[in-house]
Amino acid sequence: MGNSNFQPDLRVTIGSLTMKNPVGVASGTFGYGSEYEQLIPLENLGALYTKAVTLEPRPGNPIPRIVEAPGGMLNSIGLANLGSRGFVQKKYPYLKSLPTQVIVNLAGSQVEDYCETLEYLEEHAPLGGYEVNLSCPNVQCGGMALGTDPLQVEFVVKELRKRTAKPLIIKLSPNVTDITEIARASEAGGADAVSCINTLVGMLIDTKKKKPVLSTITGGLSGPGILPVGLAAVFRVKRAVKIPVVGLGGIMSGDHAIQYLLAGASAIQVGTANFVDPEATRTILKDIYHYAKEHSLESITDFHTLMYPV
Amino acid sequence: MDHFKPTIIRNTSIAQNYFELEFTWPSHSVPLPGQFLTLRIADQISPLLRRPFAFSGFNKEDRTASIIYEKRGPATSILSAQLPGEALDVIGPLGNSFPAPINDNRPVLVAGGVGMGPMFFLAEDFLKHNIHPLLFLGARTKAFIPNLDLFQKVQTLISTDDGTAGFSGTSVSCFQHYLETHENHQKVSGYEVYACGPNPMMQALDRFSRNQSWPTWLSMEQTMGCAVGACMGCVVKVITNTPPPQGFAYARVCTEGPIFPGHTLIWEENHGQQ
Ligand SMILES: Cc1cc2nc3c(=O)[nH]c(=O)nc-3n(C[C@H](O)[C@H](O)[C@H](O)COP(=O)(O)OP(=O)(O)OC[C@H]3O[C@@H](n4cnc5c(N)ncnc54)[C@H](O)[C@@H]3O)c2cc1C
Ligand SMILES: Cc1cc2nc3c(=O)[nH]c(=O)nc-3n(C[C@H](O)[C@H](O)[C@H](O)COP(=O)(O)O)c2cc1C
Ligand code: FES
Repeated sequence: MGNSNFQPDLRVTIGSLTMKNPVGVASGTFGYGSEYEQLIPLENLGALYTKAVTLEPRPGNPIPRIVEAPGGMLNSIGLANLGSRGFVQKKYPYLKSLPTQVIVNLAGSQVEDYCETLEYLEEHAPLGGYEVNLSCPNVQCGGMALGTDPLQVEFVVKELRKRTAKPLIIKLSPNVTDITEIARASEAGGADAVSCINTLVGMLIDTKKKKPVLSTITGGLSGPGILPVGLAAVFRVKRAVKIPVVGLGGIMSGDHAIQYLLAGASAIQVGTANFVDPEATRTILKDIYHYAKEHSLESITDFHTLMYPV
Repeated sequence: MDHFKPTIIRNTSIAQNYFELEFTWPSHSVPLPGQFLTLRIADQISPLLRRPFAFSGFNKEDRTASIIYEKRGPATSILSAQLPGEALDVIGPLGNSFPAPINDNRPVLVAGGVGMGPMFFLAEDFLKHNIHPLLFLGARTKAFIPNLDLFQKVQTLISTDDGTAGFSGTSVSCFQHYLETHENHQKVSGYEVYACGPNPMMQALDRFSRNQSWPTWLSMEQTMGCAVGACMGCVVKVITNTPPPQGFAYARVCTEGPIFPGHTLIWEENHGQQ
């Protein structure tokens, strides 16, 4: 134990893709990387999950879009993005040069949107892989409904699978009765991995103005308060599917990330913590590495066998 | 932009609920008037998000910077109890800055409440360039008005809503009153308006200066997530020249702003967000 020459191998494999380490940055919290290039070395990231890309540009939701909540924050960005063509023109040239795996987060309202966006990106912006956001709580019609019905999920994943050999990671919503059902449907559709969790539906009310704080009434809750929800989701999903699980939700520290790895995650994503401390990913990776060394864990999968049998 | 941990030099009350925080500036970057920084107030989960504050001054020689803040909620309450020698967690400088006036326009600076910091910085900067602005400072009541050396150097007109100090009314009506009572203002080729304060104040000012065709630069406030342009959380609604059907866009206060030309703002949605 604690052999100083021992070097854990923290690489992660998802489908055909290898990430140099398990620490990624979550969609919507890290833009397209360039926003943070002055603050942290992007080559240290295991993966960068872009802000959602939709077929057509979206202006996003009315103001206000963000508010701090007890233990976290609520957001209602509404998938504001340049659309697939804008992404190819303005974001792809930078992203393709990055020394990290770039996973494009896809969103839409209907199955056809997802398919068309993916086809367009396959042709014009080949990057590391796709994270399919079937679970955004901030868009009306589609999005959420799509991600909550196992049959629809299996169908959309199958359609996307036909169109790409690149890793397909299906992002799961915690706002469902049984998250393992959706995970199994993703696996049956041919997904390479699932990531969980997206934000939880929440709201806050301004008691002075007697109205909801967010323009859209409800928004998505993220941050430290949702850690236990994300952990429970990963723990259960890991035991329901054979494909890798990417864990996220509320990770603020190395200890939080290690909890996800112990629960069965093969990789993790850091979201809201980037806002609080842009260097969070660096500290988290360092802590994971030290933990692995201390416990003589040769690889990430060794974390999964470590926990007291439950 | 840098992320670093400067040391507090001074953190003192300058008016009721208003504090001036001065700290070291070990970074090579040079903050400009209008730019802001974010502070992580404490290494704990509440308050969670970093808080944005505009620079109220920067001393190139001593490498010190300052902000003026109002104690209004959890983060600013914790900040107000911090002592000289303690470390701050700063990311900055962020955002764009106020442009110089065009031609010989006389700058008119209108400050309301927490907007006073960046206006004082801008006034000092104009003085260094031998430009003599007019400064309007508005507050609800006298207790919220600081007493600064700056007011000796810059022509300053104070207004209070309750009339306890200076002009009785808003800073915008104080400005209008000044124009009506100072006939020599015609001699000035024109005014260029710079403002930071509550949205209703800035909207009223924008409406007024649009009528006069004076260039107007407004520093907007919006709740921030990342403060570096990544989250799209801090937007204001602006007119764009992109083809309809939209004709509008949401611009990020942290990146395209915080300073916006008044005529580009669509107030119906931006109004009353504070
Ligand atoms: C570009 C910019 C420059 C600013 N400059 C100054 C300044 O020079 N002096 C000053 O006193 N204040 C300034 N503010 C406002 C300042 O950020 C808030 O006063 C501060 O966040 C309040 O935090 P709190 O926890 O004390 O109060 P809270 O009770 O949390 O909030 C009080 C109000 O502050 C605003 N606020 C809260 N959280 C955030 C956030 N994450 N981002 C932005 N606003 C938030 C909201 O309008 C809220 O209603 C600026 C804001 C912006 C966007
Ligand atoms: C401001 C903001 C924007 C987000 N945008 C997206 C998005 O476009 N697509 C997506 O799949 N998830 C999005 N998310 C969700 C995050 O990727 C992540 O699932 C969630 O925030 C939980 O992780 P955290 O607690 O570490 O932030 C967003 C989250 C935030 C806070
Ligand atoms: S605060 Fe994130 S984009 Fe401005």
